Amino acid sequence: MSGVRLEGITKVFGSTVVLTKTDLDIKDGEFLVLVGPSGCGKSTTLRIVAGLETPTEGSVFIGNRNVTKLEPSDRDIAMVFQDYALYPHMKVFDNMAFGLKLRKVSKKEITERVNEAAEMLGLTNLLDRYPKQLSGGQRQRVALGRAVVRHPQVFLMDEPLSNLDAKLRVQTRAELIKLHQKLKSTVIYVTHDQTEAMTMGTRIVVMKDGLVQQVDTPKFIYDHPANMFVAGFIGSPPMNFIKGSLETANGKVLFKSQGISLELPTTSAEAPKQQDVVLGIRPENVEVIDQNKFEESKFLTCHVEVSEYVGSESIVHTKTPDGQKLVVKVNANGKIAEPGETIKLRPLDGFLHLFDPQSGSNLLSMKV
Amino acid sequence: MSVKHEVNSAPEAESSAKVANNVKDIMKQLILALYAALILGPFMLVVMTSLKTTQELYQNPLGLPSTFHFENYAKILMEGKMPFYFKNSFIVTIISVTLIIFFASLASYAITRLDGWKSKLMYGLFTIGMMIPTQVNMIPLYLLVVKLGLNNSILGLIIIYIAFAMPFATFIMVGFMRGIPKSLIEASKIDGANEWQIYSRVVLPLSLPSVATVAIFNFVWVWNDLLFPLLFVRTDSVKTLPLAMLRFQGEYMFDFPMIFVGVVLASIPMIVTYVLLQRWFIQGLTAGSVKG
Repeated sequence: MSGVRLEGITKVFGSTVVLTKTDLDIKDGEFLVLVGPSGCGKSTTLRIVAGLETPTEGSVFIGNRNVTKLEPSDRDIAMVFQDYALYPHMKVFDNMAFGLKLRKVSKKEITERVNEAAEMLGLTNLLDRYPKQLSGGQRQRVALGRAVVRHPQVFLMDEPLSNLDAKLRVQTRAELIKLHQKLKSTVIYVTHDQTEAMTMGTRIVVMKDGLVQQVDTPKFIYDHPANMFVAGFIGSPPMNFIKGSLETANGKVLFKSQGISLELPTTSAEAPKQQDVVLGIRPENVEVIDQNKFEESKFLTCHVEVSEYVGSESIVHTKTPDGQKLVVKVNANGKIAEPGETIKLRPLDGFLHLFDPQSGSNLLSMKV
Repeated sequence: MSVKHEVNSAPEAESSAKVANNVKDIMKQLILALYAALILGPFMLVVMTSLKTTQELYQNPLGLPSTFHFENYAKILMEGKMPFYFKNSFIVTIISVTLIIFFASLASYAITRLDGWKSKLMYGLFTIGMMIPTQVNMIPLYLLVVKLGLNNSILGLIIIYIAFAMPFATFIMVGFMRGIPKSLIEASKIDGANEWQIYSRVVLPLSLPSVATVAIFNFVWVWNDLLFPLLFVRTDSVKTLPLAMLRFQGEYMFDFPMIFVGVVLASIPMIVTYVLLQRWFIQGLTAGSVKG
């Protein structure tokens, strides 16, 4: 096994810059997830590591080898494709054995390795079938098996779960995590699904418009998003943003918007100097309250637009007095808010984020 | 009343739709049967005539033979040079078709693997050949073949057939190969395959329908072709079946049954080829027309 290092990777297609000066250091045995919206450059990054695209600038290292100019076959990597890319004219056994045959591995060893991988992935009974005779989930496992038998230094996975139905996706996600724990191999995984990224990644790389926005553990990214894009992309439903201004009084820092005044747990010395800010608060960090408990400046009176019951909780979409959106996650055991109703919402202290409205960067992340 | 009417109207509509479908089916079957009769009728007439004597043919041209004269076949196969011409046709057709498939599939693979303008240019140069009628090339082609010393030889015929078949064969195969997902090529690259291995072990096996289509088209064309042998073949030793059949008319001047024996025998390889490869034929022709 080996780590992977990208140094100053830039990729330009015609006049479109797809990746800009990307540096990444993926540790040996790490499960790194590249996540971002369509067109953010995550698949291109993966394909550059695979050798399926050549970077316009920069270098790729696998272990200590500079592989930038090497063919995919010489990089000792295996890749699982979004559409699985199984050879339709070969049986499952031959699909898995193809790479080994090309590398002139002995017949005995091929059989051993394929059988071992098939057992690990529950494919033993399917080795004699053609891909068209398999279900989506089985095909996905064959694609994984084809990668596993090769014992590569690095596994590359390009949205391998996106063609599965929701239930199977959750199940396969867990299987992939187990597989990684067993093989302890380096995995680079591309997805646009932030839930996949959060649940599977040792670290997550959030990308947008060919630029890396933040690289860190799922928990750190969730708690300390580097900017409004990351804050809005990671988490479901996404973080709420409320426009307002900062004021300092008696050494306290206050966020003011629409009649509310929230005290921020920071000193005026540490507070950002600017006046206009955006407050970020996750839907689960907003409380539905009884008016009597708190003074009026601590909550917002909002109109319920839509209420989504999802079993364990309800997601309530509301509008603040000045028309900004505020989504709240509430326990489904409590009273379910009805559309048209008015409710009082209080952002919880200690879970507030402040962003610069122009650059979007996080001015202060207050959850400790 | 109105409720009753609505309740009854559903089964009524269903049954009238069924009748319409049945009528459609019957019409379809009738048209197909008529078409089959148009194809099979003349062919059966040829087969029947080949089993008659000349006298019987004139007496009862459309009827069944009173006795089936299989000796007509024996006579042609044993006495004439038919087996020899058969052999020539076979050599020319099999080698030509094999090489057409080989070269066209290689060219198509390159066209589908190259990027942008190079691919378009190559594809354009190949397919432009389809726009030029063969007859237009006859004189320059004759001069070229004579200059190269390839006239009156089996090799010359094979080379000409390959050259003339490439545009259409490439057109069919490129259309098919473009439908092969790019990820399959990439997967085989990562698996360690070089270009030759990607072509021979992944792309070509997956292109079998187009190979079958090209094989059938060219088998029928090369096997039946009279133009090129007529232009380039002088001696008996190089003659192919269609050219030899032309001479049959002189040899067996009024012996139509014998000429028809030749026609039947010459048709057999084409029928066999079509029956063997037809499974893939339609698939090959329609590939790439819709997104899979």
